[in-house]
Amino acid sequence: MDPNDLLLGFSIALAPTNLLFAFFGVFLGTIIGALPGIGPSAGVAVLLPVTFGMPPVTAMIMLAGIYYGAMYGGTITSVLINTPGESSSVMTTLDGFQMALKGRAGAALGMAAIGSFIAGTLSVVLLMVAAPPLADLAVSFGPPEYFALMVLGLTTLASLTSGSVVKGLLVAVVGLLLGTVGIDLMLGAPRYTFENVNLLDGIDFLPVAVGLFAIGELLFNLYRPVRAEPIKAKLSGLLPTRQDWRDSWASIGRGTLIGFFVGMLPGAGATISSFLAYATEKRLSKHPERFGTGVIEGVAAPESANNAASTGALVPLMALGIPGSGTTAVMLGALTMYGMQPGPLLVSTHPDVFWGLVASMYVGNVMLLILNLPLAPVFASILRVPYSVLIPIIIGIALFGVYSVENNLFNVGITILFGAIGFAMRLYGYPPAPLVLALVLGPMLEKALRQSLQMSLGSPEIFVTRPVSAFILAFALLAVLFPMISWFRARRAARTAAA
Amino acid sequence: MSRADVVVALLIAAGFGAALWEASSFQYGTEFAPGPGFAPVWLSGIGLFLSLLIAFSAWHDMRTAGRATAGKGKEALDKRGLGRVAATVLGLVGMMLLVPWIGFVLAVLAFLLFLTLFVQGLRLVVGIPAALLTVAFVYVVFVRFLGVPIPAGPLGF
Repeated sequence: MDPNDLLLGFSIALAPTNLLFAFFGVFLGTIIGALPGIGPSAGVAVLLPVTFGMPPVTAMIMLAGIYYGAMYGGTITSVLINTPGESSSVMTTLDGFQMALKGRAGAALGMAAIGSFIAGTLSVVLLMVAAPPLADLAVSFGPPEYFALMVLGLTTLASLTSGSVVKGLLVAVVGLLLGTVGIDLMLGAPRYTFENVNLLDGIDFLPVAVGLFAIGELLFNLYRPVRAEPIKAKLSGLLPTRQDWRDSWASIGRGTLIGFFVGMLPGAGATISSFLAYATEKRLSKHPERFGTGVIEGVAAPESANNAASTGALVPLMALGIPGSGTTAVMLGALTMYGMQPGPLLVSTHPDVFWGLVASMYVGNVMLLILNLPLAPVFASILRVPYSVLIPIIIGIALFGVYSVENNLFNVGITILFGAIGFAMRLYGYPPAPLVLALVLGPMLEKALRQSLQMSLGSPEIFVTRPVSAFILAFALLAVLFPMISWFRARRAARTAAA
Repeated sequence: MSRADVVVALLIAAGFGAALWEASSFQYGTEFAPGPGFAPVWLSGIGLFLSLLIAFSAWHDMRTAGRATAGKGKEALDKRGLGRVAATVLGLVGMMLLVPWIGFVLAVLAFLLFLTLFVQGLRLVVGIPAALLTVAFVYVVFVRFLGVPIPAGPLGF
């Protein structure tokens, strides 16, 4: 790593405009994370249109700020109302809420903020170290390797999202099929356009993402309203005591490493890393029976892990151009909207974007620490705003936002349609993230597949004769087979038990 | 698994069936490479298989669970909740239809008033300011600040 690259990054990140939008990003991210029912995917998708007209680096700084800011914000709801603000804070509720009941809500929020800061900062160092060499390696990849990587990303996300693996895969196939709509880029033939000019360019990912993540989620909240009353906790003593430090420093370190490396894996992300970090701490503890009763390690480990995972997830996005989650899929779509070609060349062709983003994350984590320690009571007070008042605000921003993408009502219609579909998907247990990821990756995946088969004169052997693609595809196959075998075993066991 | 799960999976299967039918009219391949129809045919075929697998699995579970619980599912659907969702979606569709007549800003305002006052049942002192302030905020951000040209109504905005 050339130190000049980081200096370039800081010169960009410390520019007044970028500092301002980094602040907006982390501030809005904290609020989004704190609100139950709207996650970082919805937040990034709804606010993406606000970044139109900004330089790409400023926009990415703000969007990334929303993403990792949401990880901080999720803690507030977990601790104060025993409801995770987003899925990656589920584990924090176990001990965080118990600490609040014991009058230690301030300590839980303080340790979560400090743990997140340490994890966030260390994981940016790891991002700096890991992404450029990975991008250099990936420059030598051809279409078969890219095809294999994208298949791995889709299969792991489909397999690891909650619910049935088959449903996850089915949703990914729907996304891939939607990605084929429009004029075929290689031969110019129209597909599924039904003579509608709005479909000739394909289905834009943003109206679909806003529909599935934001409108669908809000419709679900209208169906089953969120009733969450924060407990009346005294938010004093935010700074950890010496004993808290003694109990937590190792958990923060382990949480950071687990979070970063799990976050790098496509599909795994912040939620799984926080589960793993919590389970690891419980296993290593001399008093595992105390977990769940309000121990500070039970807050420090998952909070460090989810923050490190959000940075780890940027490694495949920035180095390979392959997102591993719904949120990073929206960020990848954003990069394309700003006219950049995501992929391994991004680091070398747009060093300002990569290094500016990296440097801004150091700054953003400091901002979040400053915001979250003294202002924790302010963010907590947001939870007292009735959710019913937030619904029209979010829908209003979403409708104007999707209209502004191409200034046409067709996109608004697509958003409404996918909002209804997103609601039905939640109701019947179909995960929405694989659909958005597949829609974003679909055209690239198809292009890589067709180029590969052109290279091999139509023989699919090219995917198994090239060692890298064969290795990655084998992993992808395992990613599907393992959960499916477990699913069939669980069904058989349940049937036997019922008999 | 409930009867609704079977119906949903069969509806998805029907969608994939239609997609496969449409894809059969695309050129499948050229001499040495896949054509525009290659991915749609394979994807709709795989989707059809997976959705039928889910439908069969849901149907099998339903049968195993016995007739006593068949159709009830994991939990009964909340009809009032579904009513709120249906009203909101219909309100959004109505908003789309209103845009050419009254413009985007007023159509969104009308929808938000409908949502807050009728669907959510908020009090007037909460619902009206929430709708008005939201529209004013997004108008300033998107139209004044970002210069998005929105369809104007009779009042010029």
